[in-house]
Amino acid sequence: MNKPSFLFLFFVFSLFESISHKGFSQESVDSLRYYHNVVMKPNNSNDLNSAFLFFDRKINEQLLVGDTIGAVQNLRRVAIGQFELGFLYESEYSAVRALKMLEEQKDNPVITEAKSGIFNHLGIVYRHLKLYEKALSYYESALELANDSSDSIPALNNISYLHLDQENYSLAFQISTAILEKCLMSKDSLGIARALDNLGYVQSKLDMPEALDNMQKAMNIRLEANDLSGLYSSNRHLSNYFSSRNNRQKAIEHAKQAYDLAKQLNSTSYLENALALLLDLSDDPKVIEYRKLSDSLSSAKQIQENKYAVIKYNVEKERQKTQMAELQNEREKRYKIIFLSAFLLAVVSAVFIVNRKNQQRKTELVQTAQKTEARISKRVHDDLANDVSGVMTFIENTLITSTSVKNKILNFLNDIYLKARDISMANIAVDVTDFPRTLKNLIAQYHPKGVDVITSPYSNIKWDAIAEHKKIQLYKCLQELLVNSKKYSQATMISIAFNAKKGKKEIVYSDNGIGFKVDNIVLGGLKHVETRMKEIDGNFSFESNEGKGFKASLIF
Amino acid sequence: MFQKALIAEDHGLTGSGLKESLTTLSITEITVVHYCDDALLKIKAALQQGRPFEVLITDLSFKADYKNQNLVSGEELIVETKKIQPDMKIVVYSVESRVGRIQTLYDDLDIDAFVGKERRDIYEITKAVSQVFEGKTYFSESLKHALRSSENQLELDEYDILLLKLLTKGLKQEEIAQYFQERNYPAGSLRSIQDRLGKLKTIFGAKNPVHLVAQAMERGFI
Repeated sequence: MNKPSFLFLFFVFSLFESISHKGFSQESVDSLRYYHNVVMKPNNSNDLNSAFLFFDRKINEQLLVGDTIGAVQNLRRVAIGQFELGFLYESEYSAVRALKMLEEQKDNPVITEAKSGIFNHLGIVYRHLKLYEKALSYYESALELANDSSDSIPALNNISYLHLDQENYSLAFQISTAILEKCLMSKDSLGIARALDNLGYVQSKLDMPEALDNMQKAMNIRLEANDLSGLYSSNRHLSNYFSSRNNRQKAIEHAKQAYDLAKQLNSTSYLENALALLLDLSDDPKVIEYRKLSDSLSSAKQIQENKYAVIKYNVEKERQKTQMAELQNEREKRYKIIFLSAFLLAVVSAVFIVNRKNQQRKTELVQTAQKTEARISKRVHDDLANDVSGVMTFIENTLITSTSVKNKILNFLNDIYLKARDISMANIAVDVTDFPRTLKNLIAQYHPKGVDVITSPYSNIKWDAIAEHKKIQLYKCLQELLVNSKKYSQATMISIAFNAKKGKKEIVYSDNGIGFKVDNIVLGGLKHVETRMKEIDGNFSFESNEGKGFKASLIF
Repeated sequence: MFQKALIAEDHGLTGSGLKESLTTLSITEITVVHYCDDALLKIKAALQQGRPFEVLITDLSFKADYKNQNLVSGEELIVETKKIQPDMKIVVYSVESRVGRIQTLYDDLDIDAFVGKERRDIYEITKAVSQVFEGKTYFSESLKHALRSSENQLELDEYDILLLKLLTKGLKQEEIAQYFQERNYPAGSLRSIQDRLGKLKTIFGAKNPVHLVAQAMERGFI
């Protein structure tokens, strides 16, 4: 960590700015500012610890009330603090956490600023971990978020440093030149100074003649502006420049100035770096030895830490991966369930709709048939029967002919009349509003003299819940059975039982008449009953033996 | 006998035949109309003239033809007639043979006689009109039987069915009585249960409780 990036400070200051903009209107403004300063310029680790605790609590509070932006800003402070303390992986973790929170937010300038800040921070962290590829990709991400040229400068500077670290001086030179152009356009004197200083430093590495001139120009601007940290940087670079050109005296001079500035700035990291610079310039072989040893020790320590951190980090990553996989699994499972249930629902409703349609069509067919029957019945009734009756009345009263012939004609006509009426009756429209009463009348209609008719309670079946066309159909079936009993059975008792069990309804019709052989069905009427029951998805069965009565069951 | 009769019958032969029959009853003034609307007009006119019709003999169904009619059925004509002349005697002469509907005519429309158009009924028109003239309500023989039948139908009640079910479970009469009493069912005394059982045995033509249960099961009652 012997190359503290003032660009990093630049990034820190921009965060500082955004905080003063926002103002943090809430309660703990003072404590926030205090801890902010603690994190930015830590004096001792105790302060930092309490600052971390403070921010940790704050972040949780903010997340609880949905203040994601606030939580993100505080996480960034924590990340910076962790970086300052050398907890690079922890710092990375905090920054990534803040980044994740931001990904769920809609883009706006504040979010973009925060994102680019975090990208830069991550780049810096990876740079210190010497993960240059990664660092570069984050800087480039930050660069992509930049709106105009001045926004892109911090990221560009960081990229330039990265190249310097890797000793890709020509690349660093290209970028530094570009930065200088941008700064010149923006007329920001401190920016120009920084760009000139950086460019000069790069040029010095490339042994370009303009190097010293650029660096001195930068220092002059900084002197004018009394930019202490800038001057510190200038002196450091110049010391480096002279040192590499074996001008030890000048190198020491600048290093001392850097040390003084670091003292003024009261920055421990600056001080450490300035002292390191001075020690590097020492001609005492023991000091040089110590520096070499301490450098290799600290880099060995860093490697050690990195190794440990990588393990720790990987474990954490694995854990997150597993968690993500579980989440993904869970999600897929849920999708599967949703998809499957939607599919099932679609199938079920399709089946249901088709069934319903079929049922409706069937019902309509039955209803149409019933209407047609009723219409024909009315015509037979009103026209034919009336006509025949008219002729009968006429003959009865007016036709003068022998009584025997007259009687014969009248008998024939009466047969026609009765047949017409029977046809009509068998097809007549049925009023089923009070079905029990309708059925009672039906029974009365065909009730042979001297026959007992027994029924179970009509209310055994909830007639109101049964569709009209079904009741009409049942009426006609019972009519057919009653006609049969009356015409052929010689029964002395007819019973009709109404039963309802488990959704299925049943009418049991029986008489104690002479019955008939089942295989000798002379009664086409039973076929009609069967047809009518099938039309309403019902069932008809009967049994009869000669001499043993007749029993039929209508299930619907 | 009635002096003035109105026949509403859209069938020409029937109308004239009816007129012939009524003439034999020495009704002096018989008017035949073919439409319900005409019938109502005649009734109104006669009322205004102070010589109202005394009896209306009407069919139930009238065939629709080219003339638009307000009243299209005998039932409607009867209702309207009763409104303007409540004491009008009404005789319905129709092909109708459904007991229920005929019963409704007597009950709801307060008709005095129903005569069918079957041959044996045709003779009855004079009999019916005569009885109506005497202030009686007339029922034909076949109708009397049918009307009696609807009263003679035997609908078992839920307690009959319950008793039969308890018998199938092998309960004795005393136990059935106790079962009824515990639940506060009507007629729960042993005596009543015995009566009910006797009635059921008669209905099903059963000799003993076992036979009764067999019969009731056979006929689908339990």
